[in-house]
Formats: sequence, structure tokens, C-alpha cells
Amino acid sequence: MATAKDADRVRPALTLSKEEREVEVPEPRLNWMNQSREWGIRVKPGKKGLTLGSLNVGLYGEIPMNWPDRTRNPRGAIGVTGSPPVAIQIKDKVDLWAPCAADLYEEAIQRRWAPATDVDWTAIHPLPEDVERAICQVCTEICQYAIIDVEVITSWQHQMAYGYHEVKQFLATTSLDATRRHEAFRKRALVNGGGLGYEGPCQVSRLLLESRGGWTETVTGLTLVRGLFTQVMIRYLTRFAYNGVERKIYECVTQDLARLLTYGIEHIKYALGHAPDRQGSIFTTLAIGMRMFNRDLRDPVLREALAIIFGGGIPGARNEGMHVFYEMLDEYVQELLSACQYLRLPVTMEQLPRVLQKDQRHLPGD
Amino acid sequence: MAWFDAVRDIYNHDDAMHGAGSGSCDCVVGLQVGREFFQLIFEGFECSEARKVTKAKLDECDFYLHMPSKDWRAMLQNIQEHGHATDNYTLNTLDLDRAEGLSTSTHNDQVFSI
Repeated sequence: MATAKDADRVRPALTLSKEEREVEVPEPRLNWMNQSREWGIRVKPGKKGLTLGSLNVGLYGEIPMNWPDRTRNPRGAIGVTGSPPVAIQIKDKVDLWAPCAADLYEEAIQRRWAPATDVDWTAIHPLPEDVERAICQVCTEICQYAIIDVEVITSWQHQMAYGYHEVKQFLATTSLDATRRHEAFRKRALVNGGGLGYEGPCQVSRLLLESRGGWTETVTGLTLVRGLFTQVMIRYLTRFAYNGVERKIYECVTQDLARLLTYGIEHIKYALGHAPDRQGSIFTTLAIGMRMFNRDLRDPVLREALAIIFGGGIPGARNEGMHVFYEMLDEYVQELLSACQYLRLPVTMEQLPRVLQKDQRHLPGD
Repeated sequence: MAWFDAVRDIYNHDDAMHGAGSGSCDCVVGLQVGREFFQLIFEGFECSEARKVTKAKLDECDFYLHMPSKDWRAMLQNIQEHGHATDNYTLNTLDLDRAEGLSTSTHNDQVFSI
């Protein structure tokens, strides 16, 4: 409410002349209106709408092999002279590009799902205690994988030049995918009144978090070691799902992971195609990753939990469950070798840790 | 072909199949059913076309699924009986049960089953 003090403040202004009271506004120069690197190119929406990739026409579609601009200037925009650089370290296309990035981004946006509402949590009921505990333990492991994925991806994403926004935007969706993965599996662990279990041994996780040599090398671990194994594990969990709720979660997560794997493998292929000398570092990274994975597999917790799930309980875990677990490992190895063959990486079965070689397998405690 | 068109029609008009993580894609899918070959064209949220093709047309597919006719029939009977694929008849299980997998391509670029 206005007071006497307010009146004192207003009165002097009211005594000013009309000319004195008007704020001086400079005449608009509008000299920015005719400034554009390219004008008049029109992109029309298609059956999938107006997609990110469809904007790449004319100058706006020129994606050079190097992007020296270390500012946040959008590709195609006119930069401001004198802008200080930001922490952009990845400026070469070969260090992050995958031709499918824009399409993967579009798919991620259009195929999004929400664990809270797209999963019918009312339709799930407690399973026998041994199976429920095993599922909760596996959920714990997958939650941790997802946390690591978010941290790894986001720690690299901000270092990438904005000239390659397709990749940056796609990686933003993978962060969301991983966050959603964490959410869904945490909910599954807790929905029946159970709880989370043990943290995993984290050898592969540490490798990913501490990877500083390059994004391509980090992607090698993220996809060929961690991502591919997670994908195969979830496919087997889908096969042995105990209800429609679990199956829904696994199927949605499978799609999300497929995009990350596609980007990762296509990026590695692009990198090797344009910089063949990178084969050595990628191969070494993979070899180290396999050794870390070997250490993780020595821990019995995940193995036993999966065997219980696959075997329908503790009684079936030792024989049938473990048989399926090993079958799952074999499937992972086949996928890995197929991917390496596609990438022309000289990886053979004999170079893998013995636990991954069907004829050489021996796990502690077997 | 009438069967494919009927399924296409259901898929294209059922919004429940277009959200919650499913629906939109852009690919040409091939199917080998015994010695017959089919193409399904997916554009966005629509299966825009299904057609019977020759084996050579599999080259145009992003990937194709192949099983003997009896296995396709068993899968469809399972779906008809339960309203959805169960147990050993989901595409995931069918793929895992096969040493060579369920999906492949003529270009050797379907290097892993997803």
C-alpha cells in the first residue's frame, strides 16, 4: 500500500516536463537483419515430421572434418568476435562422429517411455523369496551400470565441439536413457517390498570413469565391454522374465541400449575408417577392458543371482541356471567377436580371458 | 498379403502401439517364410506398405527375419492362443534359440542381435 514516503519519491518525478520524463530510446539500427550465412533454404516436414537430420541442407548441412570454433556458436550461425573459448577439447569429426547420430537422436525422442506410467506396476506381485532377492540383486547391478553410463557420457559430452550437435544431442538422450534405466530397475527392486543388494566389484566401471585418453577409446569400453554385455544379459532376462511387467521394462531398455550400441559401433567404424592408426589404441583399450571384465566375473554375486533367475530358484540354479548363465556368456562372446569382425579389429577367441572361452572356462567356486 | 495388410491396418490405427517406447522407426524389414519373401516398409509411426518380393529384394532390406514356415506358424498360433507371444515364441527367445539368430542381412552388417 502506498505510503507518505512513496509520495515523496514520486512527487519530484511528477514535476519533470513531458520531454524530461520520456526515456531516450536510440533509433533501431536493425543491422543484424540482413546478416545470415545462408537464407532461403526451406526444409519441408516429411512423414516423420521435421527431423534433425533433414535440416542438413545447404550450408547448414556442411559438417567439416574439423571444427576449430571453441565457443558455443551454433553451426551455421555468425560468431561474435572476441568470445573467449570454453573447454572444448574434441574438435575433430573423427573423434566423435557417427553418420547415424541424427537419426538415433530422432528415434530416442520419438520412442521415449516413462517408467512411472508406461509400466503397469499394479500387475506385479512378489515372487518366491529366492527369486525375488536374486532379481533385486541384478537390478542393483544394472542400476549401478546406468549411474556409471550417465557419469561417463556427461563428462565427455561438454568437451565436444558444437559443430557436431547431432552427436551432442544424441548423447544427451543416452544420458536420459541411462537415468531412466536406473529409475526402472530401482523401482523393480523396491516394488514388492524388497531392497537393493550388493554394489558390484566395479572394475569395468572404474576403467570407464578413469578413461581420459579419448572419447573413442571410452566408447570402446562403454559399448563393446559394458554395453554389449548388459544388452545380452537383459535379453536373457527378457527370455526368463517372470511377468509382463519385467518383460515390458526389459524390452524398453533393450531399445534404449540398442541406440547406444549402434552409435558406439558406428563411431568406432567411422574413426577406424578415417584414422586407421587408431586401431592399436582401440584394440589395447578393448584388451584392458576384457581383463577388467574378467575380474568382475570372478565375483560370484551377479553370477549366482542370474543363475537363480534362470533356474527358477536356488534348487535349479546349480545346474540349469548355471548352464544358461554360461550360455549367456557365450552369446556375449559371439556378439563381441561379430562386432570386432565388422570393425575389422583383430580379436580372436584365444585372446579373450579364459572365463569367456567355452573350452577353457573355470570360475572360482565352480 | 491380405494377412499382412490386415495386421498393418491394426498397427497403423492403434495409438497404443505408437508410444511408450514403441512405434516410430524408419526401416525396410524383410521376412523369409520358407521359400517366400516379403518386405514391410516402416516410416515413422506407420507401416506404409507390405509386399511380396523376390529373394533378390532382400538386398534392399535393412535386415530380414528368417524361419521355416512351420516355426512362423507355431509363433502365430501361440499369439492367437494367448493374445501375445509367450515363453518360447517371442522374437527375442526365437532369436536366442537359434545358433545363427533370427535376424540377418545380405550385407553382413547385422553383426549383433538387438
